[in-house]
Amino acid sequence: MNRLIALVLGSVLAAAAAAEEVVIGDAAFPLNTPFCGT
Amino acid sequence: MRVQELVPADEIGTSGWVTKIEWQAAYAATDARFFDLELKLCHTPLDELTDRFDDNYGGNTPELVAEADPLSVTAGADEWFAVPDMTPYHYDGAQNLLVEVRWRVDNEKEVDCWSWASDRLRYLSNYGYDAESGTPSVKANRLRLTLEPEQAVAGTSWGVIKAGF
Repeated sequence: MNRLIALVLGSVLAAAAAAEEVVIGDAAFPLNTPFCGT
Repeated sequence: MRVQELVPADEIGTSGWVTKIEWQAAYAATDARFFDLELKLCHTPLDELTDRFDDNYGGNTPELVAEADPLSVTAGADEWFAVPDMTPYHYDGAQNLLVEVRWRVDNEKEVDCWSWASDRLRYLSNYGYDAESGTPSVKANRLRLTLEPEQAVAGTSWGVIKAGF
């Protein structure tokens, strides 16, 4: 029983530590940078 | 081409392992190839870029986190794309982050990326792969960073939980 509780708690904590996506800046205008053909 | 982009710490807002960096295509692009491409990350104390690439490391050593030869970009409008197979980079959450990309040759196709005008010089570029200096700009690309938690929370918690029984 204790092991079951621990597994559940571990899963919850693991889910809480999921990856985070951070967006920097806006989609204000297009630029051919940095991936411009040279 | 050699490019550096400065990302201030307050815009990232957390520490952790950077596992992916993405750019957002403004228009559809098909098989734009960039050969001998390198992606480097580096902490920097600078709040604004100088016109000299190496000075922008601020005394830190950049880490090579991904390579592609070539990086082939095919993306629809507004789709995000990345350099694949990136080695996670530990970001401390305090210093600013410098993102550097460079490649030697390409197939003369381009990927227009969504960009914006920032309030400081945070973008530096030069067409030369080995360029030492470039032209800084306030215009910057929109980026998406994926950060994994600082610690392996699940593993740590498992030990703590077991110790409690």
